[in-house]
Amino acid sequence: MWTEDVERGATYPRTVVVLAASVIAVSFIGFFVGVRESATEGAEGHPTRLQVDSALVAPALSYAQLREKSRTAPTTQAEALRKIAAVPSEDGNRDGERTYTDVLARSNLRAYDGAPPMVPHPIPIRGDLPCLTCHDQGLVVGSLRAPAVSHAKLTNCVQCHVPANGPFPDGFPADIEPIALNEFSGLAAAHQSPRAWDGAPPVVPHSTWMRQECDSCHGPSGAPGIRTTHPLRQNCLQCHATSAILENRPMEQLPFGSELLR
Amino acid sequence: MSVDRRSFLKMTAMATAAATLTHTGTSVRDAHGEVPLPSDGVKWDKAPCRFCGTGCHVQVGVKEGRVVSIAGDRLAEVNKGLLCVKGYHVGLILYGKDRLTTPLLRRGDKFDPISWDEAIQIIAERVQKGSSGFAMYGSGQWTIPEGYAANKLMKGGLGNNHVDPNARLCMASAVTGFLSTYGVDEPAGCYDDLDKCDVVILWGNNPAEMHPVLFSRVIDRRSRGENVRIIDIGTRRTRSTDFADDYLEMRPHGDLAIANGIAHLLVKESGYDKQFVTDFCNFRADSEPAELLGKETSFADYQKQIEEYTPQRVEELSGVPADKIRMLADLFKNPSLKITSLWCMGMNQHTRGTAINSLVHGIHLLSGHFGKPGDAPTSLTGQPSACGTVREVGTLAHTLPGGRLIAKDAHRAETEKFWNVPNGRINPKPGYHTVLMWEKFSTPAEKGGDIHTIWVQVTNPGQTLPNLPKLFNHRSAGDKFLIVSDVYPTATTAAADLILPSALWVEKNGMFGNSERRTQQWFRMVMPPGQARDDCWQTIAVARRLWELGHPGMRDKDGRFLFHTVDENGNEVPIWQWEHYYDVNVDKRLFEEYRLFTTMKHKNLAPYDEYVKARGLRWPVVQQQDGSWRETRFRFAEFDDPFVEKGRRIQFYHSVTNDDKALVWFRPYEPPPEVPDNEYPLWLCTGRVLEHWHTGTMTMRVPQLHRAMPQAYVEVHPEDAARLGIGNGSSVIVESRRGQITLRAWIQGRGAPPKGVIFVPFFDERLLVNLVTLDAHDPFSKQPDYKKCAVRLRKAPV
Repeated sequence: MWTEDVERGATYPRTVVVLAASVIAVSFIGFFVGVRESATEGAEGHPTRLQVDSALVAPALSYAQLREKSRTAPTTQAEALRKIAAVPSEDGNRDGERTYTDVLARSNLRAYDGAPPMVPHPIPIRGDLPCLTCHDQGLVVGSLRAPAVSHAKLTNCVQCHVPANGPFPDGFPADIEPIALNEFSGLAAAHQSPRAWDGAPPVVPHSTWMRQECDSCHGPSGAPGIRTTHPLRQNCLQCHATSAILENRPMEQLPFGSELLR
Repeated sequence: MSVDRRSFLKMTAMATAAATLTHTGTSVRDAHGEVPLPSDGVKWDKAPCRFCGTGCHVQVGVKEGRVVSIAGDRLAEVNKGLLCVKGYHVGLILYGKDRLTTPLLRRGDKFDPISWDEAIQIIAERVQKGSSGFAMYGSGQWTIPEGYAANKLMKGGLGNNHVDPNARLCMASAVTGFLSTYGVDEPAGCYDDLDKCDVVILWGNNPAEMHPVLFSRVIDRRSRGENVRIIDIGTRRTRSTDFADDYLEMRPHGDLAIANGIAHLLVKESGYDKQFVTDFCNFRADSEPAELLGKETSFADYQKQIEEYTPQRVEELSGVPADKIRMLADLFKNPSLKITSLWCMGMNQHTRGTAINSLVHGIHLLSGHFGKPGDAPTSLTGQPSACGTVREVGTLAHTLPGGRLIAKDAHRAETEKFWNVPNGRINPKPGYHTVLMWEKFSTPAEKGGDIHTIWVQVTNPGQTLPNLPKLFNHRSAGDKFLIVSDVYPTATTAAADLILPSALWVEKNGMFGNSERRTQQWFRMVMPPGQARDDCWQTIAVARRLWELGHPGMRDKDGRFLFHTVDENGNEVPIWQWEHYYDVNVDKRLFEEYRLFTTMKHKNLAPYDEYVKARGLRWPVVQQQDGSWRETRFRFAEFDDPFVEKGRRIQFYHSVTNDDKALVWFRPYEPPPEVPDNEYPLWLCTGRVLEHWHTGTMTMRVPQLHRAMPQAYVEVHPEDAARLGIGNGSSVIVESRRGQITLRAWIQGRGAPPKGVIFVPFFDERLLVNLVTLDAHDPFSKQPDYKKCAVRLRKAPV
């Protein structure tokens, strides 16, 4: 939940951040290698696994450790602010073109606005998944971003997030031709938000269900076109209203007519 | 794997918002000065998910007549707003490009479009050819009203009982397990047990992939700091194993030995709950000849029979170390722990399925781990309405609605009364169960194959029947006719003579019943494509055509149509005409009639309108003094079940022995019907994967799910692979005494079978593993065993 006591800002020692950064870099390289046309037909003969140097892989924290961490290593406000301040932000009016491009890029991994994004890089098939190593707080390495989880931390990530490029290892000649095409046309993501007047804070143009952590997309690890212009402000919903209609809240539960809240 | 990123983007873009983002740049305002949002005009309504038996509720977003969005329903107790990857993409199943949109009749090797009128006439004529050879093969995906209408047409109209569902392949052994233990079907507990238990035992079950939302309900408790011990008993490592505290790897059929081993230690070491057993249990053993309800036995006899299942003996039979058997028994001996057992196909698709089901109930009863929140033996179902439509509506070949049996005179008489049909209309002889029905259909009439026509609705037997070469093979059997109602082309429609296009999920009104006795309702939200129509309408239209042709079974005692339906003014509505089908709510009309049946077995249902308001209600649903309707979470327990008498604590009020006691069974270990030998040295197990639901008819047409798991494979242990010179991606032939298929090998893949075991998922219609599986089945439930047979593996020639 928005109001849940979820930590913000850096809590990892610097070495861990560096290690984790290496991991995401390796993952992205792995992804682009993985999606290249396979040049190694007939690479049969040996069981292959995801080729990642294990020395580079930071161990995933267990949930017990996460809880422990939040008790023992409180974030200082100064640390958090340093991290936020280090991210370049655009002041004032956003470039609409940039927003549009970033929203569109975001849509490519989702069936509709609000669908769980697919995973754009290879992941282990089984075992303890190290997803939170990068996606717990979010990471930015150069132009590569690993967004923080947008919802309360749940345990079985692959229940909802599946690999966009299939589960099989390199050299596994899978038949990727679909049985039939699909003509579903999903709800588009908004690339602009209603405001009461020019300069008024825009309302949240989407449901916040499973998207309670605004920082995930709009914080330091978000895409530039949808990143907040004022990262020092921490209480987003203080100024940006949610909509009962988008939240799909039953009308009878509302104290006022829905029109007022739209 | 080789994937071209451009083609991937192109493909996903087709299914995304991208196409509707038509402009760039700064804020655009409409004529009223408002900034338009893509979500403007989206209407939301509730529906249960179309896929598994968990019964999550989704919120369906509809815009301009099309489903555009799905959200987890936060008001749903089952899933509390969460879904799995299939559920999030359930809206896309409506929009595969190859939806069936017109009736098609086979002419030689091709299909010609025909009108609905012609199609209905052809079906009616096949019935007229001989009512007794006409069968219906349905499904746990039938909505409750669909199954009820088919059941009434066959049993109350045609007077033959040849209607059976695919659920026979899915949970029939769970039914016989409940019946032979408690005298009444379906779990006593519910999903609330998952929130309260200290220990979860997975009996051959992989909920991390098959019931992910329920599994999350357990493992997310750990993230909140609670302790839940997960014990995985299985024949291969799965994603569930990754979350388990203990993994007990057993040999196929080892579960029979393990359950008996736990019972042995409970009894031997006086660790059982004496008070519970004295107050609430009788003992039972197999009769000669073997019958479902067996024969009475004493505790002393039971003790003697269970004697041989020492931990050492169990280790020999099951492969699970003796100290692990002791560990399990110690857990059951501890009255302060709350233990929930979960199972699904591992225990049900088993030639001793009834036996292992009753044994697991038995150890819960012996140890008193029953009837308290968190203490429950709970079977899960794989289909959204296996419980609602099959088990409760009674669409099996031997059952009638509300837990009634065809073999019982009183049950038939009461059903005839509710249906207002003449005495004797219902045939006292049970119909053919699934395996027999398809065997008779694939056999020429002159050789005893007395089923000449099968009408399949909402299922895909051409992919799911075991031993397909034997059971799905009517084309060379003479004058046979296969009718298939479906939404997409399948392995079954490929062999059909007549194909009928059906409405799917929120293209029609519907009701489902999930694994925890929860009855759910939804309304039509979008129109079906082309000429696709509701299965229930199809059934009623055929019934009406038979009426017009003078079939006597289509009239009730008063000469009225079997599905006589009136509007609020009492005038008959011609619901057999499609343009009038939605003039009234036919679902409500059928459901209110069906409700009459539900009180005999205390499975009371509320009026239809109560389900409109709720996210499902768990039966028995009983009206309170203030007029409200109250659901029941824990059956047979005084603190919650309104039918338990005061002061009884636990009351099994449908007891087989008529004394309010449940039965603790002795059932011996028996080896599987086919075991690996020199010729066929490996075990084959089959099953599902997270991304695809059953035969993949729907999920293989969802780009996101298809890409995440594009094809079937065979999981092989590294040592077996090395021995055969097989690597990841190698093309291999899996061969049994019945047939063979060629698949790609996956080593250390999604699951990890032990040496000597291979696993193949059954979702891929291009790679039919059921050409290989065995049709041996449980003697009581008639459910086949897809989980074990003997095969050999070799590298395919290049």
